[in-house]
Amino acid sequence: MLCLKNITKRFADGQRSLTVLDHLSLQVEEGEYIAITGESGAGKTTLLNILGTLLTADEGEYVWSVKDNGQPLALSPQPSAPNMVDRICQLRNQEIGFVYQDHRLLPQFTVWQNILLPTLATKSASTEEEQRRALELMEFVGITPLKDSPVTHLSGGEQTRVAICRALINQPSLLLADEPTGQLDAANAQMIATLFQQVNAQLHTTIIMATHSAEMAKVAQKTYTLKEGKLK
Amino acid sequence: MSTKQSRKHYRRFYRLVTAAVILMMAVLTGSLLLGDSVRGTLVHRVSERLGKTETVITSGTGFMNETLVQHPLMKNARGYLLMDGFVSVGEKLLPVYVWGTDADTLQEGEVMVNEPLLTQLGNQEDLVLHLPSHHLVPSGSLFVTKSYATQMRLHVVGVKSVEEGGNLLLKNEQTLPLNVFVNRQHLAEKMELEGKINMVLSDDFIEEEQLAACWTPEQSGIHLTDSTLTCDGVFIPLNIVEKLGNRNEELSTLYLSYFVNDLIHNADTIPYSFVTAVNEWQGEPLEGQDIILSDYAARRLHVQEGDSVSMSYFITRQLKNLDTRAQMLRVKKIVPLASFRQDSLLMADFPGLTRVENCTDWDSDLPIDMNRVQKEDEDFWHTYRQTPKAVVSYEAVKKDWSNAFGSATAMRFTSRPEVSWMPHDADVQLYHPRAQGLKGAAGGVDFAGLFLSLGFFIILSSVLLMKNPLVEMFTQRQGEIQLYQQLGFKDKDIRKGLFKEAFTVMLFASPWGALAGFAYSTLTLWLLGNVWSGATHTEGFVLHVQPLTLIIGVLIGLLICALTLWWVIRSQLSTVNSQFPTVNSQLSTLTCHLSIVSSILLLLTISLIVVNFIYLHNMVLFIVCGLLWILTWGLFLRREVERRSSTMPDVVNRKQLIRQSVRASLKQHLLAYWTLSLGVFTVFAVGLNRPDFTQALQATGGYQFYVDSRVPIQYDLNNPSVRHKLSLQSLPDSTTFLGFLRHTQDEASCLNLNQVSTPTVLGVDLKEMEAFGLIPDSQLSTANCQLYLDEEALTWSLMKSVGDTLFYQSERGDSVPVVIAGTYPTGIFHGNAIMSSEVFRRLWPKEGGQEVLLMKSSRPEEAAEILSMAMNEYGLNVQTVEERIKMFFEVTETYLIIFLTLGGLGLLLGIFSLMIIVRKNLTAQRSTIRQYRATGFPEPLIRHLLLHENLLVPFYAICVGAIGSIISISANPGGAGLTTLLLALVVLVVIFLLLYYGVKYMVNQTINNQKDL
Repeated sequence: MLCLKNITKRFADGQRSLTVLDHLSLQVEEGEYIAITGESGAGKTTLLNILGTLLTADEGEYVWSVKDNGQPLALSPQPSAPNMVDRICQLRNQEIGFVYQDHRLLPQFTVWQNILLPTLATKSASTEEEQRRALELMEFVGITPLKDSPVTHLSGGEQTRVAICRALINQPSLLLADEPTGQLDAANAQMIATLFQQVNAQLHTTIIMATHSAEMAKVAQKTYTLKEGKLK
Repeated sequence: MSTKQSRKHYRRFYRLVTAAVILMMAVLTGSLLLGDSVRGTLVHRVSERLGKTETVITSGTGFMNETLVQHPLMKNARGYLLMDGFVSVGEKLLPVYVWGTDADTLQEGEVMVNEPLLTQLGNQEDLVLHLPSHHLVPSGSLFVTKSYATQMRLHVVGVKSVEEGGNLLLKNEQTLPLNVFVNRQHLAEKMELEGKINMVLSDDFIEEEQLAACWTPEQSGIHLTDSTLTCDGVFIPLNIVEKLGNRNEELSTLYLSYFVNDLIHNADTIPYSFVTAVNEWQGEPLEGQDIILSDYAARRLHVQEGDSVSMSYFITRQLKNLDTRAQMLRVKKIVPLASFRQDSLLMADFPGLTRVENCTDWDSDLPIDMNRVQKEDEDFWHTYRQTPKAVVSYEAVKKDWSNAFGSATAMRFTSRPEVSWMPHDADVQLYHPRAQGLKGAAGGVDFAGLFLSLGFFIILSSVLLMKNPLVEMFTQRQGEIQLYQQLGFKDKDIRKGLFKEAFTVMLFASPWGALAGFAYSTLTLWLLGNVWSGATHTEGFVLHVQPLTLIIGVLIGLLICALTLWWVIRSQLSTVNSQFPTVNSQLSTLTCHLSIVSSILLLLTISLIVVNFIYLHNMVLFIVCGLLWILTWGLFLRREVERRSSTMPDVVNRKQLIRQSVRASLKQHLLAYWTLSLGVFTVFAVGLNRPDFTQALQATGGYQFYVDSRVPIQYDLNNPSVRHKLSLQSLPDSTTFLGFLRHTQDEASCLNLNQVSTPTVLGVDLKEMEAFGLIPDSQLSTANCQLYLDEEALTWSLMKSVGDTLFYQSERGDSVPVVIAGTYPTGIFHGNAIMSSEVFRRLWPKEGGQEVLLMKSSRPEEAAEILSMAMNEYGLNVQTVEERIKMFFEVTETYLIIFLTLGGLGLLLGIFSLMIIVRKNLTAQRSTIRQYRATGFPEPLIRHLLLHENLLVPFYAICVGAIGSIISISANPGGAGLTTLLLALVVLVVIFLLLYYGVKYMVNQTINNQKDL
């Protein structure tokens, strides 16, 4: 599905350069559930952002091979093809879903609007099909009664579930989750872990999750540890 | 709390605060300095125009002997012969003051001019100076020559600088006079006024008592012997006649010589004879219809004592509309002609009549029919000249023969009258122009207040510019504030600490602000003297700095800073724990109320606009409608945001996202709405609301031309015989004139920046003024002195109100209280007081000529041309009423342009400060942008959403404000003129572009900063 080969990412830290990812390679197959663990600052979020096309790698190859007319799409090094930026945006919108530790729900909108937000990236209004799907997702994660609630009124667990719905609304093939249970209590964390399992199993969505939690990592099919810029 | 480090850390905010403080201080102190500078310039102008002059002595319409300045008291005084005149330059007539002076070594035919006149003359080295004829006998009296004006061809030999007194002017005006200086003796010779002056300027402060001590009647041309009194001006001033008549001594004999048309007995007639009225002749009283004939006259008329003789003569009451009156007299006595010749007092010296060799040489304003003059009349003239052919009873003719200049031509006493003579007995008056000038300058137009109002938007925008970065900074520092609270700091201490930190910056910025104030006032003074000279009609404003004003300006500025800062800190502390605004689904009640109120308001506004547009045309109501419009659409905006946010359809669309985002920061957006809509409305409504000429033009009584004459016109131009006499017979028959007497005092129009105490008075029959919107108060008795003033002059130039009293000096030297009885609409008479001609003549009986005329005609252009050509020696300035009204309204227009310019600048500044709010909003939206990107929103879409969120309300506000201002100018939509409308349009487009590109720039910057998460 996607392949990272010798990916290197450096950040400038004052005068010196800090190598976060150092010739990292990863092969992900469709339907996999991968957990990536590592210490704080190891580069988990950077890796997810590169996977999610929000960051570009300084070196190495990143190839996406799903749903792009059957042709692999090279994301790193980024080819200077026309409409490449649009194609990446489309890929991010249609094929990738994000769940963040801090949920990143937009406080000015309701639960319903937050969930349907990704559908507006390519057209001006959501379709009936998307609304139906949003209702199904809400039911799936158990937040149907909260449809018209402002997101600021929700608990942490509820907010995570809204974020999951939002990430899944466009039926992406890859769900990236960055510490999704980082701010939750054990019960809620467990519930979210189960939810991710169900998403993977029932919706066949590939999941790559960065986590500190051993419990969360346990439910994944594969677990990698990111250390010194490499996956082990 | 280390304030120094905090200041350093948050220096990007403090830079903006510093800029705002400097700007506010600049406008504040600059405006105050401007007030001082204009006042200082006016004071300076007083010194410039007066030089060292402390005392002015004038002789009214009469003259004084030049010997007056030889008195030791007058050692620092100069005698002048001052006259109004005019010079023609091309097609223009320039009104000038003609100073006959001894100070310069000017030869005959030479003239010096002042710098402003030189500028007007250009390369012209020779000039023709036109002057009203001044004779010892006032031209308003009946027996004067027919020439009312004279000319002098002069060569310009030099320029009199300001330091040399070139700009000498005694009127309280800041505009530079056009002065010509000629040799006094040559001027006097030309006018047959040898040895005479009519003005003394002294560098010493002379009191009235001092003048009285050195003045004698002889110096005013009053010749007093032990038994007789005669006067250079032929007519003895009424004051003197009354003063001598009121003595407790045996009454003196009064002589009044007159030129009669006919003495008739049966078929015998003697044409054109001098006859003198006396109350007694050689100890014998003359009563009633008594006439004493010379034997010469008796012989020609074939009369005996006891016979009746008819005497006919011209009389005139106003102007020179002549009537012929006849009296039947009884011959009391016939005496030898020689006895009349022996009494020189019987013969008055009328110029044009008495100093000629033949009767046919008579130069008189009277319609003398020379065909009636026979050989025997010429023979009599050759031998006896003006010896009267008869004497009549004084009482019988006193009423007919007296005039404003006197009721006697000579007096005889039995003994020398012992009276104490005062200068004002001979119309000699004294005043101190410097004190009056300085008072006028000190009380002049308050430019400080004016420019504080005009620059109000800049000050307001500066406060916003100061407030917004402070709010943003303290919002960013909420965590810091919370930390201080957690650490146990009291709110009071936190407030104090933050205040100290920010106020120090303001304190350091203030001297720079004061310095910028210098630049602001210098620039504005330059603009007022050049680009905006339409408001002041003055050049050469000079910066005058009063340290106290500067200190006051800085202190007021710091107070505003302190209050703004304190308010910001307080509100930040109180909202330190506030959350994001939440979506409330139960807003239906508020929405419902907003809907009802805004709908009612919209209905009310539209109804008012329609009613006002069709029926009322009231400008104030239109402005109210404009404000209601803004209020209505402000409530609609609120309602729309609330309504759309409270209803949650299943379909989610981008518009919803934008509306929700607007609602999330509703407070800031509403602030932006009110600031921008009211700002745009005020600037454009005031800037475009041009004064309506229509009302002023309607109040012109149908007259099309306003004619200002440099030489008083002594005739009634409506009289066909006068038209014939003045070669005006080709005027269309429909041409009508309305004449005004004028007592020239201070210019009280908006063109004069000085405070005025006594405006120029126009005398007219008040019934004629109803067509000009002046409704005389019928309750007031004409026995009291009243005048009417136009509303603007009353309020701004005099700073008085109806019912107040002004004090005018009458010709007799009395200070006469004159009550302001009412007002009339500002128009063609702006700056002039209108008074009943009856009252006018009581106060200034000798000023009987018309100096202002209104003219209307069916062929106006043709009539104006004929009038100008036929009366070119009168120096007529003929302007259409539209031109005259426009001249005054130009001042208001210029002020409105200044307001539009400064208001526009303030508005741009306000927009800049709103950018800070936008920036703050965008900063708060970072997570939103991140989320948009994470969900695959393309950058153009994110930009589009953010631009719409941040521009929707400002654009809406500008549109509402602009439409509101259009509503407010509906009373006079075309009044602004194309240039102003285009200027307003350009400003509007600039505002739109500035907002668009400013927000776009910030959106791009925010998005770019978010690229590398």
